[in-house]
Amino acid sequence: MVVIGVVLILVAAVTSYWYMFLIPLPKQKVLTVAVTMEPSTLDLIVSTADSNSMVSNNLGETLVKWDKAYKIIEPCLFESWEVSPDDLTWTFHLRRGVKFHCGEIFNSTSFMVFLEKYFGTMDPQFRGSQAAASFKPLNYTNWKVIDDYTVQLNLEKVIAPLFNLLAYPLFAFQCPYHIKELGAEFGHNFCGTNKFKLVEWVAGERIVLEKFEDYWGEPAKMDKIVWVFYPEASTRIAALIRGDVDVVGGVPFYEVNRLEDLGLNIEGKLTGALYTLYINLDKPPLDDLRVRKALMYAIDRQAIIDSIYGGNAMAAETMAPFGVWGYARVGTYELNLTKAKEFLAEAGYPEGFERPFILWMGEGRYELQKEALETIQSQWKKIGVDVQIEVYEGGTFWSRMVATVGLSPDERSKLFDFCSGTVSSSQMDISQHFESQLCSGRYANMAGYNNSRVDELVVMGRNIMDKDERFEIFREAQEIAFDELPWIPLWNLVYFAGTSRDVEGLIVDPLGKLVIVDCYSK
Amino acid sequence: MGYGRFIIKRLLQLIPSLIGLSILVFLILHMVPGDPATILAGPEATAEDVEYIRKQMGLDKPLLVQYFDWLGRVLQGDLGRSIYARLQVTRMLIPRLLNTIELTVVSALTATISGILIGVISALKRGSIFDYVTMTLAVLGICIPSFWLGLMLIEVFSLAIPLFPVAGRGGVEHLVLPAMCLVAYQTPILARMMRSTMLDVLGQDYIRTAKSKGLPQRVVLYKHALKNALIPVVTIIGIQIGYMLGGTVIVETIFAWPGIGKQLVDSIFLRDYPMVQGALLIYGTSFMLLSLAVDFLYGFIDPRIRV
Repeated sequence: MVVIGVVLILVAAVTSYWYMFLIPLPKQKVLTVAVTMEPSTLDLIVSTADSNSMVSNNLGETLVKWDKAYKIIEPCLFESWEVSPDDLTWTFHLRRGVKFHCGEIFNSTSFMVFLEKYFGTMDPQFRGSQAAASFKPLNYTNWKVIDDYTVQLNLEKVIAPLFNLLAYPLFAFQCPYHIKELGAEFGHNFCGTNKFKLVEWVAGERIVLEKFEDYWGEPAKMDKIVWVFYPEASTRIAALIRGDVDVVGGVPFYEVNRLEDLGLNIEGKLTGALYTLYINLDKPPLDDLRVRKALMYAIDRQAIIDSIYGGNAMAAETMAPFGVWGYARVGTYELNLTKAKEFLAEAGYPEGFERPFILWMGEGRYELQKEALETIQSQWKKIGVDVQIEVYEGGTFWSRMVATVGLSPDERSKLFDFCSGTVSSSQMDISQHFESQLCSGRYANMAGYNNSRVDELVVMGRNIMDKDERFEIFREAQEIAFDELPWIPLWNLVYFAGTSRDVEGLIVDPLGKLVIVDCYSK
Repeated sequence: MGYGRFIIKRLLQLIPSLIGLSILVFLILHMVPGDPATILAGPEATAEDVEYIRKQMGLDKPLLVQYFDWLGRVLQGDLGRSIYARLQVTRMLIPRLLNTIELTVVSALTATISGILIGVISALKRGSIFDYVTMTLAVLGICIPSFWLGLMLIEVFSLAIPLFPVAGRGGVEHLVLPAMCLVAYQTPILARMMRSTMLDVLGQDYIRTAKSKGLPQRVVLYKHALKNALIPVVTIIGIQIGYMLGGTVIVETIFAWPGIGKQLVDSIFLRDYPMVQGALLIYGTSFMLLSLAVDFLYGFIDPRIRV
């Protein structure tokens, strides 16, 4: 074995040196990025998973885009716009001199053909996705061509987060003729307008993007971006330390100090995703607000954050993902066992409950989830609440969640008591998750929450363009929900990414995705 | 029975196994709780869309008809399209299968050669220092979990002594660490097996007869002892190759080796049924072909098996 090992090592060493001497690498500026998962597709209608949009965002551009701080929306493929006084008719001016990677010109014609292709030929299999549904008002039938570089959108109702939709990666423009040619396979090709074009995709191994020379704006700083997919965190970190890769995503928090000591750069960001425990409000005694309050006051979230997450998290202070438009801190629930016991006694359960509660958990949803939930389990024991955690494999968990959609309260009362979940808003607007998860009768309302005032506020908030007024509307909705606890809001986690010493310009977006397009190594 | 007839008999026996495999793989989609069309359609889908998908997937037909439709397509090499990637399943899986085979062949060859060599030497020099050292190392090799060994190999041969890249697929240098990780588990099993069967055979009467006939040591060892001792080892090699084709998920994950095992696991998590079905079919079939090959080899080494 030793002999063979040595032979193997020699062969490998000779080969690698042979490569080095005989084929000198062309002096290109290449940035190698290691992330956890390979994209399944670059067609975001099929799946808006972060692993997909993280790559497609370098290839395609949206009509408007977020600034680097993710606070305001700026012009992009739309250069300017006007709106009618009733906020229903929007006239957009397209940027001139924009080309797709294949050389086609971006103008009103290609704009319309793209919308028609994108919406018109969408596979019914994906028409029902949440992402596709939110774009219904932007369907091609509502757009009109004014001239070569002007288009008009006619809405039936005001859409307050209109610009959030236009800036959503799903709506990145691609050459429409290209889509037609490729049919169903266009998810593995991407012909957009951004600084990089797709040149190679070796399944499972790498995706290579190359600088697009005809880009309309500030040119790319790198010649190539190579994406590689290393599922194991230790491997990604070793590759960064050795210099095999320049940027890595998903650095576990316990590795941060070691990497910083080695002189590597760490970028950390508190991310939007809010981790929660949905409560089944159709299942007594959880329909009693006093019981829910007791449960909330019996959890020491800060202790969990400090002991399990090394302080790299923030206890939630509202019912909205952190950092989305409309996010308002509305309160706090600190550990208070006396209060918890009082609430239980008031509700008629001074000794706690005889039956154990069922908590559904899906594996792999987030870091150290099970450890955190087990801590909650032990904290609840102190007020006489016994919880059994049922752990499901990720996909099974998802199927079970989907299977609860549309059930009657009676059927729902036979399901979970608590369900571990994540709330996030990919469109970066508070209305998105409020509409789907906190309005009565909506499909993702896992809690079965029903409050007519919240329903009313969300509808109002959907139709008001005035930002201050809208903010107040959603603040009230957050206050109500935070007080009534249809879920137990837990925490937001910090996401860490690492780069080698000479890499600059890496941005982690509020959803915990790497923004690579302007990242460069010196 | 001649060797030709033996082969034909074994090939015919393969048919019912393959049919059984295809039925099991086909039923996967139907064992999922809930209606696949509704799950695929998404939460905001209209009833017409769900109906359309059901029709498109052929789920509105009787189960038996669905099976034969599906089998017909599979026999023509059409395993359907991946739900997410929208590409042909075969186009997605074959490059990954080849990657896995690449890793398997290198590891299996190394493990087989080194395992047999170490086993034979240990048996011949029973009780020597070589025997003790290698057999102790063998126990260690079997006991060390591959994820730990993988990380240690990276730590030593990529970071401390920067010889090989940490992960990924590329030149030959990328192959070394994952192969070492697999070999470290496979070699000890083979070496121990080889040693004990060799010792067993060396104690047999016919070896004593061969020796007393005055045959040279070399002939006794290679012609009589080794050939007989190899029979059980060949079975183990077959099983091990099968194991490596299917069970390298951990190694593939640690070294980001783009093989079929990791793809299967990812597809299961994503509930990409056509991909899961395709990967299982490929797995199942290659396992069967492999055991067939082992049987042929067996029949070749030991003619008694053919009866």
